Amino acid sequence: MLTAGVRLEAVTVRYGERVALAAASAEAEPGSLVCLVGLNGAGKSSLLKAVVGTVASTGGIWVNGVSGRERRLRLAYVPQREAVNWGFPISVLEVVLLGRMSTLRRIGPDPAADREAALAALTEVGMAEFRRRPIGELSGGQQQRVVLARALFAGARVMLLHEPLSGVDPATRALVLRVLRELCDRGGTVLMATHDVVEAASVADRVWGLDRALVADVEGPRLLDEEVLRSIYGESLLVLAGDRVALGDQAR
Amino acid sequence: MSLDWLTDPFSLEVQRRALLEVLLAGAVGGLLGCHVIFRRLGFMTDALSHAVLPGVVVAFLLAGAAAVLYGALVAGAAAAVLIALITRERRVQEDAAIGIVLTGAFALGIVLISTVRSYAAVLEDFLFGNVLLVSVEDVWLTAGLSAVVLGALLVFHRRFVLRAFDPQLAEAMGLSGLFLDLVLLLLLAATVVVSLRAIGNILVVAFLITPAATARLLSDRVPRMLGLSALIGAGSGFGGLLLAYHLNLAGGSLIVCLTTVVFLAVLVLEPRRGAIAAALHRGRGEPLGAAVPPAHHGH
Repeated sequence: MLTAGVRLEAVTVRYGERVALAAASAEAEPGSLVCLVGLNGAGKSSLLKAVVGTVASTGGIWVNGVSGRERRLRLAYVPQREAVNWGFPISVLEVVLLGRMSTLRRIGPDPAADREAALAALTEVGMAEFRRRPIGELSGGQQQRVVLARALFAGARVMLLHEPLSGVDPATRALVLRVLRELCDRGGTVLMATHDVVEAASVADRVWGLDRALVADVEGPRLLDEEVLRSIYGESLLVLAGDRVALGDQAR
Repeated sequence: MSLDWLTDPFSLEVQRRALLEVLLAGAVGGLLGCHVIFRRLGFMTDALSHAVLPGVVVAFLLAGAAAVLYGALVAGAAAAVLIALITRERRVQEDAAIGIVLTGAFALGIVLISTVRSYAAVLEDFLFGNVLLVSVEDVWLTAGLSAVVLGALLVFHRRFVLRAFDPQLAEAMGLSGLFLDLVLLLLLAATVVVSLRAIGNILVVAFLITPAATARLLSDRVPRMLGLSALIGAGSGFGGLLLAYHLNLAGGSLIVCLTTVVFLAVLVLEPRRGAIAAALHRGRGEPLGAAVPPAHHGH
């Protein structure tokens, strides 16, 4: 059994009668960046939320060898952008400090060590000079960097991200990918949901293709093979010529 | 203006009790009101404040005026739990659940009160408050509840902030949304009771929304907003009593009018983003809030 990374064994997620993810079994090794791809409703969010523990699932989930509720302490999470209240009156540094359970339970000011760690995380994503600015005044890309810093501040070796690259500028995109790759180089594990097939093929060590079940588990570049794409996207795959891929509207 | 103008209204003990009552209610309402604004719970607060009425009436009928605030506390807590549970039921919309509890409980209160012979006068005190009727015991209860609310706000501050700012991360970190909502609703119920004597059942919501909304216009940071909101709430309480004495008008309603006037004044006059500043900026062709660079959204 893996003692690091993420291991899934027959993970099933149901919403009432509807099965969102059926019996997914896979392993994300330490040091690997795994992209989750698939149509809307294919189970990308359900899989991430099952690992985090915010939706009920059956089967086994291990994060760095730990299962049950304890596994939450071993991972950092970057939720969907749309779920965040960006108009909230909070500064960039305060957002980062919310990333650890120990600071959440604290009454009164944070010790210097925590503030320094939060600032170091902001420096890593190039946002240290913005630390006193209200989060609502930043651009979408800058906000994405800040929540990435918050996940780094959490100090976990497994990071789960929801569409961290959607709608961000090219510089932020490059920076997010560099930071995630560095985390992997230090032995961390990254699970990242994305809509962008070409991007997943170019940056991922492995790609998990979802269609209400795990239908493909391949090395990154192999995602662009026609039979792999067909297994994930089925009828929504419209054109395939050379290395050009086009997906139907609902795949976007 | 002589100092007497400021001190005369508070020369009697009953007036000083009233002052203490509105200062506590204004400050605590202002603090908790910030969380009401963060979580967009304005309508919920309205429902809770009306839902305490049957508790108030039952306590009055069973044990007289001294028991009124305890009855309100029990009814408020019951309504908080009821609303939290009803809103977990997916087939009932949250605003519908709140509306049902609000009107049902309020109507029950009126029905109960109509069994009393001197019905109109009693009802008026409940609905609009009568801060000069505050007893020593009432002040102690208010102070005790205020201390509980302040303590809980300190302990739960960051968890409330994360739940309001990023609810998905809060759940991911193992914070129970239902538990945090219940704590917040119970604190709201306690604060409604704190404000009941001062400004009455109908206007309680003003202490919980208007000062916090005003403070939000003046600040982009939670700690500053909390301080300003408490200050505006307590300041309006003081100013309202002062005007009530000199103009011989109803104190509770004047306090609420004052919070509204302060809100409107800030909305129009606030130097960075108020209505006048906005018009001036438009005239000069500058972007609004020129103190900070405009945001460029990546979408």
